[in-house]
Amino acid sequence: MDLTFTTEEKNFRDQVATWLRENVTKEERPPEGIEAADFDRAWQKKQFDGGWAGIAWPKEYGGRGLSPLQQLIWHEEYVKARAPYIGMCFLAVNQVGPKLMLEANAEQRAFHLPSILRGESLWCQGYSEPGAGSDLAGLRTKAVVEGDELVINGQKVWTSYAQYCDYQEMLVRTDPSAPKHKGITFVIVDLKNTKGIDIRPLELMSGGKHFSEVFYDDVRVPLANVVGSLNDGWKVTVASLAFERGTAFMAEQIDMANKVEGLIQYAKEHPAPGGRKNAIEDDEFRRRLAILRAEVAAMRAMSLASVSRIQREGKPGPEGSLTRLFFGQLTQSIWRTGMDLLGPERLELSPMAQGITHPYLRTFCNTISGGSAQIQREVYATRVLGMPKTR
Amino acid sequence: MDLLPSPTQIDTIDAIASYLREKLPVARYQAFSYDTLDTPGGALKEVAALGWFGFALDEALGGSGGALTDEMLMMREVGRHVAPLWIPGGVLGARIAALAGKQELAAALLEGRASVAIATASGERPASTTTRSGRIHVIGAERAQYAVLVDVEGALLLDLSRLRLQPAPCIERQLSLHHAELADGSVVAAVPVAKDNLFVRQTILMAAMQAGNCEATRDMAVEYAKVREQFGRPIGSFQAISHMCVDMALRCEQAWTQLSYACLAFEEGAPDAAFQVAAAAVLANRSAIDNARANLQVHGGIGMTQAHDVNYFLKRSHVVETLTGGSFMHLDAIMETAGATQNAGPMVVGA
Ligand SMILES: Cc1cc2nc3c(=O)[nH]c(=O)nc-3n(C[C@H](O)[C@H](O)[C@H](O)COP(=O)(O)OP(=O)(O)OC[C@H]3O[C@@H](n4cnc5c(N)ncnc54)[C@H](O)[C@@H]3O)c2cc1C
Repeated sequence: MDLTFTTEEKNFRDQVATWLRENVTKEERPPEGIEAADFDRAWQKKQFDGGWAGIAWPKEYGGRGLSPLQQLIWHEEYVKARAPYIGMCFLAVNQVGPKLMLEANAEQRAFHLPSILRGESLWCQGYSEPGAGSDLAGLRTKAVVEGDELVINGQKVWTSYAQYCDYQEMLVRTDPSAPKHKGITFVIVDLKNTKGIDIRPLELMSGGKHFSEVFYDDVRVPLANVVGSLNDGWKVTVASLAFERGTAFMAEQIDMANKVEGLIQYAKEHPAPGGRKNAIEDDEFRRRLAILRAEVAAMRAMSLASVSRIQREGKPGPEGSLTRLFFGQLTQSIWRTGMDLLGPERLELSPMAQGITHPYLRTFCNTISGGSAQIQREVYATRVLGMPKTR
Repeated sequence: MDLLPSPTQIDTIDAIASYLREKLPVARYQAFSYDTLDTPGGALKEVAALGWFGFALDEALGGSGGALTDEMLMMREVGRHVAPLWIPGGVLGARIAALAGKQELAAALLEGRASVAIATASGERPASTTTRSGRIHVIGAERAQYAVLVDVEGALLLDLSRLRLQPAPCIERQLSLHHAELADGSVVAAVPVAKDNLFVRQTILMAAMQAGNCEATRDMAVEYAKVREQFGRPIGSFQAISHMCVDMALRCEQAWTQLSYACLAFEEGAPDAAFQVAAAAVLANRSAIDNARANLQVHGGIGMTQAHDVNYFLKRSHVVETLTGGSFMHLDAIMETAGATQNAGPMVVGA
């Protein structure tokens, strides 16, 4: 146990910081729309060209083949440099990539991984359906094999960024007679070049058409796009869930320190609602902000512990569910404190991804998407604490 | 002692509720396009004709001479439907005009010939009804002619055409929001606190809206938990969900019963009324916000969509919290007013 970084790691940190200082664009990331998609692609490409994409990805897929700790250093410096939010590259870079490395065949890996790192392909996740959210394995979108194709019919919902993406990772039911976890197949769908797909964007209550309903009407996809084998899709998904819950949000976790410091700055400059002193001199706010600072520190320590475990054991541990749960709760309490700090100013909706009121509304999904807080607790209770299952 | 509504009051509530359900249900928002504002239309005259604006105003002043509890019961229903804020605006506006002796204006407002928005002091130099200067936010100024501004020192009725209004986007998108500098020349009627405590009145009415809001979200969550199935069972069969719903019910009980008590204490001039009202405001705000959040969680992904009712309650709970004067001032008031233990006799700590 120690906190010191090796000379190599320190040098690496310097290099990262220098590159970021010289290359992070001053331009704000557009908060949504096709402009955001273009921006995200371009920024990903720039990182790739600079040799900074896929730091911990193997070299054969265009990555740097460095350690998870170096990846963490990158995230830390990234946040410090106030580099743009990863945006629509999130799923491809943080989840699809690691998943394909684990489960896809050589051809699929060679085709998709480099283009993900270069920002050439944006991905979305077609898992949830109207009847299958928490109970993902209850999904009903159907696919039947016809020749060397899968023919897909059904509906997905809440598919983030579907309208802008090139590919979709998708779970479909290929054997309706098998037990529900056994009849599912994982398949890659080329959204731009496949007929029969109808994408209908939905608006988030915080504004912006973030996600979509996606309808499939006799959609034909080559069998070659199946990852793993037919009816083995559940295993493919579960194998990579640890990444989703463990490390994918590391940059956002580290970035929470910026959010809390932002609120502290606000409290220094504005009176407490109904008070005469600046909020920072108000005991209640001072202490609530202090708790947030402490919790953000713990969040960072948890991230470091995760990375330590990955370094030692090669994969994230079961604490991922806890990290995700904590992340959701912490983001919500940060912005709730922000709302309280605002006083009557809370009546105004701030521009997307700025100020306090918009992020406040936006963070409600942090205890819903990617497995709700209740499901994260249940997973931890049964898989880690060994509690009896209720269902 | 009786904290429950009388049979007559219950009939009145039913009538109010059925009008709101039919004419101004929360679902009206679903039909709105991106920039549609919930401005007063035909419903304004109807609501006026039903006598809602003069419920608790003396008959001599053109009202129906009811009690503040009647108005509180009405506003609870208004809150339940995220109904328009020109309803409490009209109630307060008509009262200010009537008590200030502006009979013509009071009659116009009681008859729904003009609509009243609600202003609240805001910004670094918040407005005061005494100095008649400082910053305000106005909610619902679009297609309204007047606005009320109420604080602990008094109440003003403002002519909106004499304010320089700057539009701003509201957290509840269907509401128009403006900020402005309060101008002395815009005041058309004024009532000092010594004549009538409109601040407590507004606080009670807003807290009643919060109580209705949190009862509505409780009911939505419970209903959804019974019909939404995952893992082959209604999600309400999972304790994580059913217990959340019970906590929501508890918050409703806290908010509504404390508010009923506070309203009666105020009407009867009880010595601890100021404390009781402050406590009611704090609990109503907290209950409404926390229930709205829990309701969203129970609904999962669909709760995050603009098209579903869930979000309207959440946003309204924050808007109305602001209109109670904000929870912080009421928390301070709780500690500044004696009386929490007044009726129970002295309490000996550590005995
Ligand atoms: C902003 C956002 C983006 C999203 N992006 C995507 C995406 O890109 N791709 C995708 O496939 N999906 C996406 N989702 C969907 C997300 O994964 C689901 O919303 C989530 O899994 C919950 O499912 P549900 O919405 O159907 O809620 P439900 O599963 O119906 O849950 C409703 C409530 O019941 C609770 N509940 C359910 N089962 C249990 C249980 N066994 N025990 C206790 N409580 C339970 C839940 O916790 C929740 O509170 C997104 C969602 C959001 C909000």
